[in-house]
Amino acid sequence: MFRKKKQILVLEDEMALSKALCIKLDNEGYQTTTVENGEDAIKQIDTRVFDLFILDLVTPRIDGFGVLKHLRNKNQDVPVFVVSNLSQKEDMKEALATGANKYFIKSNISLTEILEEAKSVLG
Amino acid sequence: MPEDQAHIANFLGSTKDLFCVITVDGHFSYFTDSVSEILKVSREDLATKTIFDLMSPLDVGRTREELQLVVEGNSVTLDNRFGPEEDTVWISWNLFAIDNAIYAIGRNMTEVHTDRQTLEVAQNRLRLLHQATSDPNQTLGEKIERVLNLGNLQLNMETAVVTYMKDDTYTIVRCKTEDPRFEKGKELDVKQTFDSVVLQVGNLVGIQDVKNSVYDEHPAHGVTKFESYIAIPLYVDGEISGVLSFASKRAQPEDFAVTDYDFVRLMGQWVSSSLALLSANKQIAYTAAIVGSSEDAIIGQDKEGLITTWNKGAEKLLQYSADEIIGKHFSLLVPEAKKEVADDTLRKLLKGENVEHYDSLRRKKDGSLVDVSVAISPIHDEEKEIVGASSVLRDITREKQIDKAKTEFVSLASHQLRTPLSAINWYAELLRDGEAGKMTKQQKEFVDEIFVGNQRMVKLVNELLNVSRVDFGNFSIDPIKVDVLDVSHSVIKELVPVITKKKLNVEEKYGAKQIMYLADPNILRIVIQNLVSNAVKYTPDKGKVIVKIEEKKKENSLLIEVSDTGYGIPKEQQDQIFSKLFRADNVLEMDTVGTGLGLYVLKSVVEESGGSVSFESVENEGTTFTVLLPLGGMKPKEGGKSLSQVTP
Repeated sequence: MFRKKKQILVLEDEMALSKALCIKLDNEGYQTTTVENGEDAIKQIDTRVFDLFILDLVTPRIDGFGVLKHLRNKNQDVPVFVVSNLSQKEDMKEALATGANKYFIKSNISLTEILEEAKSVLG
Repeated sequence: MPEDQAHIANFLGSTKDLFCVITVDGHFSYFTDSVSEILKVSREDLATKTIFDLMSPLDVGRTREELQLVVEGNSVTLDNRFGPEEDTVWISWNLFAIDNAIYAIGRNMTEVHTDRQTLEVAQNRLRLLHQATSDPNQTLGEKIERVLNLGNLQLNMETAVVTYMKDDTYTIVRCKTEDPRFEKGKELDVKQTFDSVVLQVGNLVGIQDVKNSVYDEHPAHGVTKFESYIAIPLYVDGEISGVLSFASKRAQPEDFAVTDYDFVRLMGQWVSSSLALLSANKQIAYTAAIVGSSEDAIIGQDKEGLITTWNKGAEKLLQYSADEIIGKHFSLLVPEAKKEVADDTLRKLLKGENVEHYDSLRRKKDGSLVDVSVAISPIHDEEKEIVGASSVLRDITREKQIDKAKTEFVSLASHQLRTPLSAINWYAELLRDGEAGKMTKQQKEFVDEIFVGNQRMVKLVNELLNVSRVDFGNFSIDPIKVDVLDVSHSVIKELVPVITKKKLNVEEKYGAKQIMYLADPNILRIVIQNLVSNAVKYTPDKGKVIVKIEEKKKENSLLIEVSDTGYGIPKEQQDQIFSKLFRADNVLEMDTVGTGLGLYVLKSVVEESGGSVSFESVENEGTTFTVLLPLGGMKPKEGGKSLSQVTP
C-alpha cells in the first residue's frame, strides 16, 4: 500500500537555506513545502495539514512568533522546530513558551542534526 | 585766737578737703592751706582775687546764680572747674550761708572727672566705629576705608594703611591718606616701614614722638619722615597676615592713651575679620562662578529633600528656572519608577554611607524624561554635620544612543553574518554527505577545509558577540540547578575528535558522581569549555590534561581546575593573559588557531558570577587554571542579553 509522505512546512526567507534543508529532508523521504514569509505560512496552515513545522523567527510580513501563535491558537498539536539565528535566551524562552518544541541556532546546528530531530518526532 | 577756734583751724587744715568762707561778691575771707594747694593759687592771690577770677569762665555765670540761692538761705551742691583748660581741676562744693557769709566745703573730683571723660571718649569711639561698619549699603571695602578714616581722625593722624603679607611680598591692601607714596596694591619694602617693628614684636606698637624715641635711627624714619606711629598686627587663623597702622608727620603732644591702644586693637580685630571675610567671599564667588557656568546640572537639597540651589546647567537640562524650583521637593524631578532608588540613595547618603554614581532618569518640566548620570555627595556644615546633599546630573542621552546603536549593530551584524555562515555550513555538509553525488578524495578534502574554516568563523562571531556583551556589562546571569559534571562530560565529548587525533590522555577527577550547582548553564559551559579546549589546543601530542571538579566546603567554593602538560605561558607575558585579543608569543609561532578572546570573556563572567580565576604556568612544562565559584551558586545579574555558546 502506498504510504503517504510526511508533510513538513519550512518557513525561511533565505532561499539558499531552505533549499539546503529541503534537499536533506526530501532525500530522507519527507515532503517539504517552503514559504518565504509569515503570511504565506498562515495560508498554508489554514488550508493544509502538516506533520512538522520548521520556522525561522525573523521573517517578512508576519514573523515566526506570529505564525507560532496562530498555529497554537488553532489548537494544532503538531510539533514545531524553531531554527533561527536569534541566540538570545529571551527569544528562546518566548518561542518555547509560545509552543515551539525545539529551538536550534542555525549557525550552530548541522542539517544532519535537524534531520535526526525530525526523525525522532515523525518516526 | 581762742583755743577752741585754734583746734578747729588745725583740724580743717589737716584734711584734704577744701574749706573757705567767701563773701557774696566772691572774696575769700577765710581759706585753709588745701585751697591754695589744690587750686594751685598762692595765698597772696587768694587774699586779693575773687573765686570767680580763679574759676573756668565757662562756670562763672552758673556759679553766681547758685551763690545767690545760697545767700537766700538754701543749701547747695555745686561742681565747677578751676585753672587752665589743659590742667583743669574739678571741685565739688557743699555751700551754705550764715549772716551773708558763705561757707564752702569742697572736694577735689578731678580724677573722677578724667575717668568719666576717658569713658566718654571710648564710648564715643565705639559708637563711631559701629556707625562706620554697620551701613548695609556699603561694601566691606568701603567700610574698611571708613574705619581707616575714623582712625586717622580719632588718633590725630593723616595716614592709615592696611597691609597684606605673603611669602616675600608686602603689599598695601587698603589705605586712607593724602600721601601719594601710599596706594592700594603697591608693594612695600617692609624693612623701610615701622611695620617691621610690629611684625617683630607681634603686638601693638605706639611711638608718640619718633625723634625722641629709640626709633629715631630706624630706616623707616629716614624714608617715611613719620614722627608718630601706632599699629597692630592683623591675625587671620592665628597667623599674622598683615598690619593696620596709623602714622603722622607730626609728633603727638602726649603719649598714646590706653583708650587709643584699645581703639586701635578694636579696629585691628574688625579689619582682620573683614579681610578674612573678603577672602572667603572671593572664594565663594569663585566657586559660585564654576558652579554657575557648569554644563552639568548641579542641584543642592536639604535633609528633607527640598531644593536649595539650582544652577544654569540645571535650568538648561530640566527646564525649570531657579525661581520656579527652589523650595520644591526633589521628587518632582524623579519619575515614579526611579523614586525608590532616589529616596534610598538620599537616605543612605544622609546616614553617612558612601554612594557610587549611577545612571537614572529625570523628568523635565515638560514631562519628558532624560537619561542622566547621577553623582551625589553630602553637604556638611562647620560642625561636620550632614545638612543636605548636592547632586551633579550629566545628560547621557547621547551616550545611551551610542550604546544602543552599538548594541544593535553588534547584534544585527552577528545575526546577518550567521545567515551566510549557515548557508556555507549546510552546503558543505550536503557535499560531504554525498547529497550531490560522490566526490573525489581531493574534492572531499577541499570541502572539509571550507567546512572547518567556516566553523572557525561561526565561533569568532559568537565570541565577538560575547565580548561586546561583556564590555557593555549587559549580559545576564540566571542561575538554575545544573549538574556541573553533565556540562563537563559534554564539553569533553565535543573535543573527542581532537583528543583522539592528538593522542592526549584526558583524566577526569570529580569529587562526586554528581555535583548539583546553582549556575547559569550558558556561563558554566563557557567557563569549562574555554579551560578544557585551551588545554587540549595548547598541549602537544601524547600530552596529559586533567579536569578536576569538586566542592570545597572549607573554602566555600566550587573548584574547577584544568591542568595540562602543554606549552605553558611565557613568564614575561603572564600578566597579559586575560587581556582582550592577547595571544602569547610561543603559541603564535606555532600558528595554532585562536582569537585571544576566550580568557578575556572567561575572567569577566567568572568575576561577575562572584568567583575568581587564577593560573600557574611554566613554559614547556604546563599550565593549571583554577576557577573558584561561590559554593552557594553564581551571583545572579540582570542584563537582558545572554552570552552565546561558542562551539569548540
